[in-house]
Amino acid sequence: MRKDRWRLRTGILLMFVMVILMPAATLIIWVFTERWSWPDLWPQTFSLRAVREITGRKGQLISLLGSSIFISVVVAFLSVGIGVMTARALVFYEFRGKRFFHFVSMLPFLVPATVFAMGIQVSFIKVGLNNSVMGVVIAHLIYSLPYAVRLLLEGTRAVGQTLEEQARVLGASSGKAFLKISFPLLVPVMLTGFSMAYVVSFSQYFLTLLIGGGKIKTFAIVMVPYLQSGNRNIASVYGGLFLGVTLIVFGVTERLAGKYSKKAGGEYYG
Amino acid sequence: MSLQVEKLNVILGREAILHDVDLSVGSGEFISLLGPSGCGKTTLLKSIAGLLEPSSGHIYIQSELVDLVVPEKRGAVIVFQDLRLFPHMTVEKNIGFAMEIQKIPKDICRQVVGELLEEVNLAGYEKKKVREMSGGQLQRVALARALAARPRVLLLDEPFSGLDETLRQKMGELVRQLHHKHHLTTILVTHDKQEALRLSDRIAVMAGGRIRQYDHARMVFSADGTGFTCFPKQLEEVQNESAKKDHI
Amino acid sequence: MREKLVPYGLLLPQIIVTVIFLAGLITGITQSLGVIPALGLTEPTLKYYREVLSDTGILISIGYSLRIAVISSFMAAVIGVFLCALMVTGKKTGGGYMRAVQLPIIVPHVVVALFAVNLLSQNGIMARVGYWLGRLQDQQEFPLIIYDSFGWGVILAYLWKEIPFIIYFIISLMANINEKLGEAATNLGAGRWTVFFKVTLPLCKNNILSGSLIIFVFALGAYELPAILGATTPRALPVMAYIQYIHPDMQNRPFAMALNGIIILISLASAFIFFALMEKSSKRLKRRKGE
Repeated sequence: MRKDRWRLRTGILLMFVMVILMPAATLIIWVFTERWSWPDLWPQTFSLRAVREITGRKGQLISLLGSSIFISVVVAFLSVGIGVMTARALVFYEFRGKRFFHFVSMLPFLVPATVFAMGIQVSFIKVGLNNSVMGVVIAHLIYSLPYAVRLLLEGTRAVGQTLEEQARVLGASSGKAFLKISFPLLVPVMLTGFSMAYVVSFSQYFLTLLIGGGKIKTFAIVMVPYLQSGNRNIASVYGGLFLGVTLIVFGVTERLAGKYSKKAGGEYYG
Repeated sequence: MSLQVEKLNVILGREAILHDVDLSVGSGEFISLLGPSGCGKTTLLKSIAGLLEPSSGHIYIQSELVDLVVPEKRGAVIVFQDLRLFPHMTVEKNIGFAMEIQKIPKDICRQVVGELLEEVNLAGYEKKKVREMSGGQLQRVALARALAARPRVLLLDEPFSGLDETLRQKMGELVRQLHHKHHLTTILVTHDKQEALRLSDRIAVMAGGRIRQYDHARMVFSADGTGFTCFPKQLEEVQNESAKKDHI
Repeated sequence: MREKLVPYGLLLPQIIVTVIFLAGLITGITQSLGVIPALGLTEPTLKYYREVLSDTGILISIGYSLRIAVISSFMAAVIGVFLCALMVTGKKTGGGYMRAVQLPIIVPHVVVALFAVNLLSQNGIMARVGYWLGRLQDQQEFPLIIYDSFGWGVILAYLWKEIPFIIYFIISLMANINEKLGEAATNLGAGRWTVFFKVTLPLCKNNILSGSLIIFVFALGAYELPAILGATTPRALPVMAYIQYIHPDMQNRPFAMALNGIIILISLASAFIFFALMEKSSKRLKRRKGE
């Protein structure tokens, strides 16, 4: 009986994994597809045309990569920095309005970015933030920050204040106690927060479309027209690049987080 | 007077924990703070160290009023019950922490760390990681770390909990030795009467947030070393009170 | 005295971000009430809402968006919790499975749209499999999954992303509870699934609800998927709002904002539920910690 149940469980989970991986696999196939007409289950002709078309426009590709990654990296850094401070205030202090601040910090989860973008654009235009990188960064930040705050609330609680207290009585000021003791222990969760904030920003379409006007181009913006016009192989190349960059960022932050976790004794993140 | 606590009142949240606590400890004296769990011993230590702010009262360390002095400048070092060794640092870095903060040159730090490790019988353990060591070893590291900070007052909050009886006694002796060698003004918090009697010059009996009795060790206990000589009834009352509270 | 200000100081950057956010939100609301100084409109009025809500086309759109949001978030929650339960009770919470779960989370919605088109369109992979299984001869025979008027294509696309999101959202809590309290319960004689239903699930309930609300609101107000995978009628609310928003005739602006306002109203209602749930679960935690 037990073995059957084990088989059933594993079967369901494996099916789930297949459902996740299959669409990604079709993407890879489409990157190299030249012709894939109905009703074949496999492309008739392969070619590197789509790939070459995009890599051929090297300057464009590099500036696209550059602006997309730059924006999202800045957003991620800001999210983590602000997140650490916000989490500290909410976890270690009691003060008036604490619950209110906690609530509003999570509010972007519940107001769609479309609504916000259409509401804020007028004001951004007035202060000159529209069609600018900084405007896009701010808009992305508003929607990436709650993810970072959420993760850092957990991490800050886990690290706690006890070690800082010990550092204080041993002669460290509160600033030094944080920097030398708590900060290194928060690095793994900060890295996770970084990658989450990065992904959320990198994936934004509508916000960039509206606030960036036509000027700010990111992967998402460039991809959609090809998708809508049926140009599947080019759209797939962009999609593949998109995924590739994101996977690299995730991979790097995960490796670093693992290293730091080990250094910290691995106690807090199990 | 190395430490003087005057009419200290401490409130945590809505509860009054310490009531009009008076305590004075002479330079180089070793006293025990004895009492049941929940009577406010840890709160008192934390207040002396500056980690908690009293609602009223004064604290003097080496005749200096420290009410407004930040914890890192008071020189009251606590060894906590949960040791609180820094997990991301080696033994050497843990012990040398206070010296690093004071920007003491690295070679002097290394020397002091080496000497302290020898005193606590952990010679050669400089590069060991915290997670590689046993409970008894970790407590000795915590002690060495506190000593390296050259405290004006050493506060030990039930530092031997979780150790078996033999190890407990050995650690107690070690503390007594170190106290003697470094002339440290020491307060040991414990709920173990035998330990208090064995190690300290004077004993402060605490219950319900007040010091009930403060006297030389032998005066606090009856001839056979079991019960308390003075105010035993009061102590019993307080113990019954806290038992009732737990039940609710 | 200065110490009391420390938390506020720490919160300063968050406050700035929040102010900008609220500015956008409030502008949206005031514009939906017809207050647009730039157009010389200063009188708040409900007429735009009235007009919008009496338009059958728009009511159908509201139904379409709500349908997609409700079905996708509900199914994602149920399936997500189920799969999470399988993983937690089978102790398969690490390594390979978690990596697979993380993949959809990092795939942006526009790429998911690409996947959906590749798989579910009338000349997509599913249709071709159908051909090879002999179930259909012509492309047109494959049912409209994307571009249909019910919204199934959009729902499936959302599910691909949101099921892993739910799993990711609750798995650490669930694993933690299942292990610690689960151990205690097993010790007292409860079987694995009893432990799950009587101990783990109730304690995760609030988190599951929070996660579901997040994806519900997202599905309600997001642009990408319904714009790319949706039918031309009915259009999803955010798509309609955007079309009105970019209309060259500025008089359309309040209509766009009224549509957004409807989205905000539904979202804010969810926000209050969210707040109440957060209160409940933090109260419960406080009781446990005996603060």
